[in-house]
Amino acid sequence: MPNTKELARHEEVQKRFTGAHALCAGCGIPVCVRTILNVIEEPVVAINATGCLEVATTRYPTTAWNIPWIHVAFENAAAVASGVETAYRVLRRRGRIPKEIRFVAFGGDGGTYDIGLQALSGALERGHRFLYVCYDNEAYMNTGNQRSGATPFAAQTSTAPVGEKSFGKPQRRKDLTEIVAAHHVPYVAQASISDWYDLAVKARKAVSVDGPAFLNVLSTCPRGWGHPTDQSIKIARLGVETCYWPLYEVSEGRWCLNYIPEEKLPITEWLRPQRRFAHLFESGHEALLAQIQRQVDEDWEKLVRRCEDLPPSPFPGGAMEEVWR
Amino acid sequence: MEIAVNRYEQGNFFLAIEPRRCKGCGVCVQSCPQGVLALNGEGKVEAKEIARCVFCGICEQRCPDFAISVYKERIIQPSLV
Repeated sequence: MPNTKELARHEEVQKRFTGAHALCAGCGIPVCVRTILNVIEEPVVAINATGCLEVATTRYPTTAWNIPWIHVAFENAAAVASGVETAYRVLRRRGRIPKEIRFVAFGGDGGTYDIGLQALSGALERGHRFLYVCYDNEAYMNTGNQRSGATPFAAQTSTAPVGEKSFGKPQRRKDLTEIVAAHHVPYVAQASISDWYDLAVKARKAVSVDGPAFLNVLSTCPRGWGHPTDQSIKIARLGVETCYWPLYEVSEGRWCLNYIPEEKLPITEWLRPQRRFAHLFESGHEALLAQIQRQVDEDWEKLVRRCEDLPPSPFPGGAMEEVWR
Repeated sequence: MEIAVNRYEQGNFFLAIEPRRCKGCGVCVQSCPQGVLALNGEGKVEAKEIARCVFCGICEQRCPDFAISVYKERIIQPSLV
């Protein structure tokens, strides 16, 4: 069995998703997609909800995908994935398909947090064996930065503008990873594009479980978030270091933190490089900054307590351990 | 049409950069632990100091546009099932 690093470098899996797509410079989505597709050993079928990834990788007459790929509407990527998986299961039982095939559905945060949530919930509850990957760039970036359920509190978007009487999005973001974990599916994890190995190992675990799996990956957007393109990975890293985006997994109902920062950075480190939070650093918004810090601290403490209360993950050492050796 | 690939060699290892694919985002420049890569005047990536390269492959894994490939003399071929 090859280990994760060897697999990611293998020629056959490296050609699944290729370059020459039209995603913006510095986009985090291709980093996420190539990492996940590179570490799956079996043949893969990709299902893609509408979003940045679908629009930019399949401009007629070109495509960036070298694997079977299905585009569906915003709301039903998970429903189509369950249909494809059921058809595969039937054909396999009849002996028409000799090989094991894995199904990976990709959706943005708009297509997962908001529009596709009920299809996703249904597919998870029915227990189809597929991996759903949500690349979370925290707004509808494809159509011009409109707010979504994943947009964080006080972020500026085109439909939650900053002005005299408003300070950006007034609501908090929803915690989709916890919502999915509440479906009692075998594997749910939260990852970030900044931690390559963590994401790669989580993707391998997710396709190895018999049942639905879900990955929520923080993916930066230089155009929407307003940061220099070369800072993409660093900003995702700051999200992890400030505990805004904790890396954890829920495997068979057991919660496990995969990364605990040595020194928890203040949330301003994550907010300051991004233009969508620039208004928070003007005078008169100190209370908002304190409120964001309080929310992050509360969420982190809740998560730490949750991971301590329950027995540790069946995978010793969390996701950083190679379990296939 | 021949695709231009810049090859930077060091011993048996080499770094292949396809400038046509590069969008000049600079993710690889920031990620490189050895400071090998830099953007040139056209906004495309170049290996300025290939002698310092340790061929870790982090630029390859993080490049969103598949412009960089790291080749080693001995590529481990895992047996795919």
